[in-house]
Amino acid sequence: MSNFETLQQIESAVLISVSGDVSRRQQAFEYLEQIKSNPTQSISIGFEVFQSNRTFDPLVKHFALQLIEETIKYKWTSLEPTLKVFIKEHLWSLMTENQTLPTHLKTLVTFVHRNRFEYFLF
Amino acid sequence: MSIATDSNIFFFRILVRCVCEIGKREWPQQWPSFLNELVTLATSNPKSSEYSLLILAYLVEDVIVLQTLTAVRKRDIQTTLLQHGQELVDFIEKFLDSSTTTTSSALYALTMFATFLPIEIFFTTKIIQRIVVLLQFDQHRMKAAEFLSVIADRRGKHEERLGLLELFSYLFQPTSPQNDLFSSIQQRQTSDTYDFMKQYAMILAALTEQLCYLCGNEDTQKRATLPSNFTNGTFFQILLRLMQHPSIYISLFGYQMWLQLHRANIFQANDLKTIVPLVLQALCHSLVKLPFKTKENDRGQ
Repeated sequence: MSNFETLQQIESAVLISVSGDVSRRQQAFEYLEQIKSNPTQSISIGFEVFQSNRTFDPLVKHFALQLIEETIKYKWTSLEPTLKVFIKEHLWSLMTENQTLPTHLKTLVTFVHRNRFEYFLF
Repeated sequence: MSIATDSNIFFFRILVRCVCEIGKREWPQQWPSFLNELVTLATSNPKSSEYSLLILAYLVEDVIVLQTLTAVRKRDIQTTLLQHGQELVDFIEKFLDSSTTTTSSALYALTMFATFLPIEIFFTTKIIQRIVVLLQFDQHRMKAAEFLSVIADRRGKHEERLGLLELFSYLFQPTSPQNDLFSSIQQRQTSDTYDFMKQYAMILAALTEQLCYLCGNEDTQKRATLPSNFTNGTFFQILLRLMQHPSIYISLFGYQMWLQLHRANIFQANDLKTIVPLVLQALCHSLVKLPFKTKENDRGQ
């Protein structure tokens, strides 16, 4: 399944999870919990919602940020170092409103380069 | 506030929380460039400065005030914050005359730092005077008062607290409008103004406690000189206004301050002869009480 299709599926699940349809709500909730249980997938999807050219519903953005926040709070120690760098870089990009996020390899190279030549202002 | 604005504020805060949570886990050992990156972020564009300020504020709030981390992590982070305390306060001070939201974030961050950084750091520059000026502005006065309340309530050694007496000269200037709020007793006051008055009364009460500790010390060699704004009667006038205020909450602060000053023997015997009649006159309105049961009620029973 392509990333875009995954995002669409997540968008549907989020909107169904707050709808009045009880039977589908449980299914949607279980699907979203399954996404949350995988930290790598959570981070990837979390940032892709903001990277995508399409504008998502605020509820979907809220869920995306929730994925990122809960991964940081509860699964940080189990994450790979490269994923930790990825998260920091992308959070910084979101804060500086840079929607053009670098690729994974470019991010890694940038991080290594910055650490090598960085001087301390403090 | 529109839904879009609410959403933006929510996303803003959750981003701050995410970075703060990483900082709590990684800084300083695994992320030595954290502070540098926050400074760079703040200076990159005006909107980003709020991120940096709130990340610092939430970090201090979680680690120092709420103590949500283990003792070892708290010690590591607190030690590093103390090492860079002066630079951090100087950095945050630059944003005190920015946009409304940035200034609010800066005041909030300073309030968090005021809970644990050495008091003298805040008196090395004019930061206190700048915050006292902010008391005159409706949009900033509450946050400014919260900062002053925290710093005025600080504990520590006698020498560390001496600088707090300077607050008497900053807060009780003739042009300070916040002190006039207690004298202009209006039947209808906005809840914002009343909340500010309560917060400001807390500052005055905290300052009185510091005055009693520093200037009324049992060890006469340690007694500091009374501030001029106390000896010239300015502070006493404000104290009288507090005691006369119709709000029980505010007047209680006044009574407590009066009792504290007496217990610490701050007033000289000669001064008391002048002061006591004035205080009794001020309290007359609360000393005259109507009887709960009238004769008609008694006959009826």
